[in-house]
Amino acid sequence: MELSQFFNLFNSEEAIRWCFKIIAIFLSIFYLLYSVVVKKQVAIMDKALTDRFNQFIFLVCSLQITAALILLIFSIFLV
Amino acid sequence: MENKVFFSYCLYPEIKFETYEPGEKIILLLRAHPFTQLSWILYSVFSLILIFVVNIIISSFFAISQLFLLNCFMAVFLLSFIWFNLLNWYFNVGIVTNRRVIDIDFYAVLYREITVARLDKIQDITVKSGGYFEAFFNYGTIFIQTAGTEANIEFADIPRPAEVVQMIEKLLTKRHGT
Repeated sequence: MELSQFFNLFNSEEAIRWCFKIIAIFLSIFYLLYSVVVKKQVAIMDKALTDRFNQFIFLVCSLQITAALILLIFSIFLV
Repeated sequence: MENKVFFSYCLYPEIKFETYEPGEKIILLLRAHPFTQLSWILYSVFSLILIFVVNIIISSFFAISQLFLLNCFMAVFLLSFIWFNLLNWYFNVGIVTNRRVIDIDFYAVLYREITVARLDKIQDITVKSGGYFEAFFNYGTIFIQTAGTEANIEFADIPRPAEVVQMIEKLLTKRHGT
């Protein structure tokens, strides 16, 4: 492969699409990890302070993990 | 149970905490005054406006599917930022019971610190409330000094600090009988 051909590969729309996809997948994975850590930490907080809103907080944390999973699926299949 | 100032000043709250002792009566639950949370609320509103502006600028550079995913990311990150700050506010509490004063702090959601001081160990209570907003919204910081090896306690930016001090002093008088 010549050098000009190599650079043409990066200029193409396909290369941009792949870059976008890889960044999106990495961000989704990091966000998923963050969501899981927050949920685990909320479980510890719940032990430290039990209030009537704690169930709602758990629900929102679960929704956050679901959103992270949906983002990951979108990143893999949509783009 | 009585809630005042958006759940930042709760009288006789129905809560349980980690170091709860049987027979202990929880009198007061304190959180930072909602006004002190205004900075991150404003950041969130500003970020929301920024998302709309960015959308107008970048809409011609990306395909529809890419633009959709980009918007999903921005929305999720903004909501996470709001949620993170809300959790920080909600779980950073001060508790006054008929036996002890407890300060539960979560730094950046990840680090936990629980400071407990028994009422009979309290030596001095100081209120610090200065500035235009503190005076207008009636909030301030309380420092509780304890004797011996027990750690000092700080309730930062709580509403009605004078009332809280009065309440603790009443409890101290009851306890010491003077």
